[in-house]
Amino acid sequence: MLLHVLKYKFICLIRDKAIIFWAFMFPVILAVLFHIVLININPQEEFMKVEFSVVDNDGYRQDIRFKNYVNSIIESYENNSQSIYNISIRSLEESEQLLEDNKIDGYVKIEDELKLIVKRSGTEQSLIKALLDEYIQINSTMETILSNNPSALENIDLLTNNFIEDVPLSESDNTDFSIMIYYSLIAMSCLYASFWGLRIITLSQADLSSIGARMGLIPQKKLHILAIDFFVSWIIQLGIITFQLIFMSTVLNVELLKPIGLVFLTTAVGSAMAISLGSFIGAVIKKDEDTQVTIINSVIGIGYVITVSQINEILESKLPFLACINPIKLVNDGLLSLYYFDNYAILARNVVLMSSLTFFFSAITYLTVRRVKYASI
Amino acid sequence: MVVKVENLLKKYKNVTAVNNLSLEIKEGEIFGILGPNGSGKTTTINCILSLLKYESGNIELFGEKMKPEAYEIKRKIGAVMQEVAVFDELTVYENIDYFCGLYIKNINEKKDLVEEAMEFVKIKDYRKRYPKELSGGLLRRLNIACGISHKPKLIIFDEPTVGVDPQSRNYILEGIQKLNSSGATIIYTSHYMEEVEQICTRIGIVDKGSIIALGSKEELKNKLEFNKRLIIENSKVSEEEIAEIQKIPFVISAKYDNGKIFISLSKSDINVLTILEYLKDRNIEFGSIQSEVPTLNDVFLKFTGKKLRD
Ligand SMILES: Nc1ncnc2c1ncn2[C@@H]1O[C@H](COP(=O)(O)OP(=O)(O)O)[C@@H](O)[C@H]1O
Ligand SMILES: [Mg+2]
Repeated sequence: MLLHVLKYKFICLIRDKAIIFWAFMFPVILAVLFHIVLININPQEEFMKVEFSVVDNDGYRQDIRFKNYVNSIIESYENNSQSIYNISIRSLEESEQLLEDNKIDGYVKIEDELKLIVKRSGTEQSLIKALLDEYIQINSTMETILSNNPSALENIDLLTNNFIEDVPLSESDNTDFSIMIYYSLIAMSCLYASFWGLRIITLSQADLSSIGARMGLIPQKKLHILAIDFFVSWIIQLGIITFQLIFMSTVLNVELLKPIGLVFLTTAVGSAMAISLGSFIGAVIKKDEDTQVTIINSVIGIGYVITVSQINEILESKLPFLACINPIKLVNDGLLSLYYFDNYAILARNVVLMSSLTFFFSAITYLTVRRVKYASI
Repeated sequence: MVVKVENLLKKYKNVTAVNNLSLEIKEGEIFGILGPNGSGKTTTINCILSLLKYESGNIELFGEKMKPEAYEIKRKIGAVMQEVAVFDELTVYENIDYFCGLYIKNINEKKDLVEEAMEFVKIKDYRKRYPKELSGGLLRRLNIACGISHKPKLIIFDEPTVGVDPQSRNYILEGIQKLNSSGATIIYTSHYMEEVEQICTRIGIVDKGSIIALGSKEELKNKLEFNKRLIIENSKVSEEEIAEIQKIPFVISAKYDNGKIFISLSKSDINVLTILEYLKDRNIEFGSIQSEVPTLNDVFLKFTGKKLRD
C-alpha cells in the first residue's frame, strides 16, 4: 500500500508539467539570464581605474590628515590589485596639463578647502568625489569627537588604509550582488513547492475535485494518504533544489555556501514550510483552483520582489512583523547569513520561524481537512 | 438488504435537495433512480456514500450503519460518479492500477483484476494513452474501470452515459448487466427513461428530492389507467364526434388538437378497429395512425403533472 501510493504519487508529480516548470525550470532560467547579464557587466568594472592627482601645494603639505588618507590609498593601490584609485602627487601645472591631455580624470587641490577639478562629469569623476566625500565625512566626525573629548581617539586613526580595505568599493560589491540574486532564486524555488501542497489538498477533498470524491470512498485513512503525499512532494522538492544548486555551482560558477549541510537544512525546512503553506491555502480558501493558484503566485511574486528590492528595508522598519513572515525572505536571509556572518544566529532564528510556520499551516490544514463528510460538494 | 435508506433529508442552505426519501435495495437488483436534472439523484448517492452530511435520516449498507470510517463497507462498494475522476498524469493502465491498488494488496491479484477491468470496458487498446487523448466515451469507460476493478458487491453508477456516443453507451449498459449477472447489486441513476427501462429490475422515480413512484416498470405502468394511445393524424372532427368517440368502450379519453386526434385506450388488442370503423361510418378522413405504448414519461406525467425532460 505504502509503496503503491508512493510510486504513483511520484509518477504524478514528475509528470505534472506546469509544476515542474515553475518549481524546476523557471528559477534555472532566471539564474541563467542573470548570469548572462552579470557576465556582461563584470568585465567593464574589472578594468575600471580612476586616476587623479593631488596638487602638491602648501595646503596639502600642511593637512596631515588628508596626507595620511591619500597615502593610505596609494599604498593600498600598490598592494592590492582590486583597488581602483590610482593617485599621484604632482605640481599644479603638471596636473592641469595631464587633465588637458585626458591622462587623468581630475585633480584635487587644497586651498581654504578641498576642491576637485574635472573636465567633464562621468563615473570616474563621481568615484573621485565619493572618495573625497567620505574623507570629509570622517574628518568632520573626528572633529566632533575630538572637540567633545580630546583623548577619545588617541589610539584610533580612522584614516588609515584599513578603512579602504574593509570597505572595498567595486568588485566584491558585485559578487555580493550576484550571490544574493542566485540564492534568492533558490529561496523562490523552495516556495514553488506551495503548488505541490495545494495539489495534494485539492486531490484529497471531495468538495474540491472529483478525484477527491473518489478518494473519499477508498477503505484507507485519508490522513495516511495525505502524509505520504506530503512526504513524496518534499523529497521531490529537495531533489529539485539539489539539482539547482549543482547547476549553479558547476555551470554558472556560483560559489556554494558553506557548510553545505546548513544550506540543505534551510532549503529543506523552507520547502516543508512552502508545502504546508500551499496546503493551507487549498484547505482554507475555498475558491476555485485558479484563484488559489493566483494567490500562491502573488505570495511568491510579491515576496520575491520585496526580498530583493529596497521595499524590504522600508517594510522592516515600518511593519517588522510582515517582513519577518515573508516566506521567501526567511529562506533567503537564512541562506545569505551563511555568506555574511560567521555565527549562525540569524540562520537559527529563521529555521525556528520557518518550522513554526510549517507547524501552524499544517495544524490549520489538519483541522480543516480532518472532517470527512462535507456540507456541500 | 444491501441498501436501506430511511427518511433521508438533505438541505443545501435553503434548498431542500432530498426530501424524506426512503428506499430499500435487495441483493442482485439493478435499481434505477430516474428523475430530471436537479431532482436530487446525485445528492442521494453522495449521502449514501457518506460523502455528504445530511440533516436527518438513517442509511445502512450491508446491514450496517454507513459512516466515513466504515472501511469494511467501503471495501465492498464501487462508485462511478457523474464527473470523471482520473489522474491526467497517469495512463489508462496506471489509473486503473492506482485505484485498484488502494483496495487490493496482493500484486498478482491486482494485476489480474486490472486486466479484467480493462477487458470489461474494452479499453485495452488504449492502455498506454493518457486521459487527454481519449474521446468522451472512452473517458467514461476508463472512469467506470477505475470504479469497478476491485470487484465490489455494490456498484453505484451516477449518470454514466451523459455525453457519450451510442457505441459507448451500449458497451456501458451491457457491461452493467454483465456485472449484475456476475453477482453485483447495482444502483443506476439517469434522466434517460429508455436506459432505465432497458436495464433496471426496479425503478424509483424521483422529483424534487422525493420518490414519487416505485416498482418494476410493469408495476409502474400498471398505475396508469391506459395502456395504449392512438394518434390519428390529418383529420377533422367536431366536438360532438369527439364526445361520441369517448363513449366507445375502453376509450378512456379523447381529444382533438391541431389536426390530430389523441385517444387513450385501456385495452390494447381489440378496440383500434372499433374506432376506425366509427371514423369510416362518419366519413371522417384521416391520414396515418400511430399507436404508442405508455412510457415512464407518462408515469412521471401522471404523478407530477409535468414531463420528464428527455
Ligand atoms: N453544492 C450544492 N450547493 C447548493 N445546491 C446544490 C448543490 N448541489 C446540488 N444542489 C441543488 O440540489 C438539488 C439536487 O441536485 P442534484 O442532486 O445534483 O440533482 P441531480 O443529480 O438529480 O441532477 C438541485 O436543486 C441543485 O440545484
Ligand atoms: Mg446528478
